[in-house]
Amino acid sequence: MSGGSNPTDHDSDVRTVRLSDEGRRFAERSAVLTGFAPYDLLATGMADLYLATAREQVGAAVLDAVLAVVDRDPDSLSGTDLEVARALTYLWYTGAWPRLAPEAHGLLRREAAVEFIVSPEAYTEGLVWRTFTGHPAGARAPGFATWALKPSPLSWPESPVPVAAPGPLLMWSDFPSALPPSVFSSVDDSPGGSLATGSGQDPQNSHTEETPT
Amino acid sequence: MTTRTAHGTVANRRRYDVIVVGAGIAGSLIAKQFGRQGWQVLILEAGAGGRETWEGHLDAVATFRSAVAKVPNSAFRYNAAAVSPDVLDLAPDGLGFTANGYFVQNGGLPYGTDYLRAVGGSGMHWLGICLRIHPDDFAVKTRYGYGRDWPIGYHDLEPYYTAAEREIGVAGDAQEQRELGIPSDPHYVYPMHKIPPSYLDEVCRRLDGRVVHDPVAVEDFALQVVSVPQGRNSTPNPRYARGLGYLPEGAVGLPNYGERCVGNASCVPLYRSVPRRPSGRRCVPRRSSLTPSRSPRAAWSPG
Ligand SMILES: Cc1cc2nc3c(=O)[nH]c(=O)nc-3n(C[C@H](O)[C@H](O)[C@H](O)COP(=O)(O)OP(=O)(O)OC[C@H]3O[C@@H](n4cnc5c(N)ncnc54)[C@H](O)[C@@H]3O)c2cc1C
Repeated sequence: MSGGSNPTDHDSDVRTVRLSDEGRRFAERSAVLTGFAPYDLLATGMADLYLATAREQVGAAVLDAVLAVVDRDPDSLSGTDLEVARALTYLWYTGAWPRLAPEAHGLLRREAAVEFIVSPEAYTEGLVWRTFTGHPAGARAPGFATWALKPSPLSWPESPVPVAAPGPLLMWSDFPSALPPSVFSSVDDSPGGSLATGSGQDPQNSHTEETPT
Repeated sequence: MTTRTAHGTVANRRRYDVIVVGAGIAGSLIAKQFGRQGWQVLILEAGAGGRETWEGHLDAVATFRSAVAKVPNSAFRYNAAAVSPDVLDLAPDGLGFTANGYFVQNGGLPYGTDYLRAVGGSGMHWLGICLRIHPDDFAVKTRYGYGRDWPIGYHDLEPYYTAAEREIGVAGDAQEQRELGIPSDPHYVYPMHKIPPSYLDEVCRRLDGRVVHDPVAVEDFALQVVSVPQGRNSTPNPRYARGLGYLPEGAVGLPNYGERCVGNASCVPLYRSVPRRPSGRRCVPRRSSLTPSRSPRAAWSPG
């Protein structure tokens, strides 16, 4: 089917699968924020949606300004810009737009929003799962009994940096009735050593298993 | 036995031998029992259904994925007509918590998880742990001078445990349970082989034999790491029911290999009590076998 100058149904189908230029540009600029290559970011299929989400949340002008700094000198980000850059990173990692710090909402003249998942697909496309060779609950379950296998080693060149700000995730331990604290305590003060390294069955196992907590 | 879902006006036009209120595990099994006897049974359920269709299943999956915090009720849409208590109703406030939901919770220890008012009840999002109570626990007064004895003993319940394990298609290791002092017929096996322990389970196995001090009992105990029988899909045990085997309701794929989703807690195999038929006739609200419905974090804590 040759489209010529008259757009046909076929043509418009082709147009929808083509990556948008600004989505591509957004993914390129997000590489430094996420540590993932633009190729990986585009492969999530989320670039356009994330760009639209960020624009809606902070406004096109602020977003462009932040991305320009990210492009030029990401280390110089500060204040609200840094908060927006963090939000973008969070978005790529979790598929959720976070609640920003209250000051950022004030400066952006926006009402404090609540965190939300931008689409059901965004949750499954979160980069976070790849950082620990995990999979999102409710999607892409690995095969039966694969949970018995030793996870493949993490491919991170460096240990993940602990995040200072308390995340918005609800921890089970927030709820006093759930489990008595004793369930969690007195596990790794044993002569057998910490649970995070090694198992009795596999002596080769005691190499680095980074567990970001 | 046929099952139909209907709204009030339609249901109202007929007469029934029995009316069961609530389509949770308990109500469903009671209705199944009556239905098997040829009775006309009406089950009244306050909450919504719909997940037994493909569209309903997809909607539940999307609802789960869209939830910011994945908790047991995340796959179920809010239903103003039958509100479900939700762990997210609780907000820790430094000293304790505030509760702002269906349950009024003013006590010191809030109920810290969900209940589900929907077809299937809380069995739609439970963890699937299917423990028989230890015989000692029926007689704590006699054995330990504490609390009260039950008016019945383990052996009164044993046949019912066996029946429940068939209905739920429990995966477990009966020998391991017997060694723990939970008796069953020496030939008894669970309907399914036990769920293979995870890598982390094996890591935790190093706690086996560790002596810990129990400050309440003021005694030392040696820990024993064992698996727990689970109402989750595993591999059917061909030795079940003295060699008859076990066939889950709605099973697809190769016998003894497939016939399962992948062992998630959201995937309870239901016993097919009639000979295999092509049409998926059923008499209990069947859960959609792939619906993700709970997060591992919000674990149910027994006791
Ligand atoms: C998060 C969670 C995890 C759990 N994990 C486990 C586990 O691992 N192992 C275990 O053994 N147990 C577990 N439990 C407990 C177990 O799930 C429940 O005890 C069990 O599902 C209860 O079944 P039921 O049929 O008695 O009641 P329910 O499941 O509560 O069913 C009652 C039904 O009746 C309906 N109903 C109520 N009132 C009316 C009315 N007036 N009119 C019409 N309909 C009505 C409700 O909507 C509901 O659907 C767990 C529970 C929760 C909440």
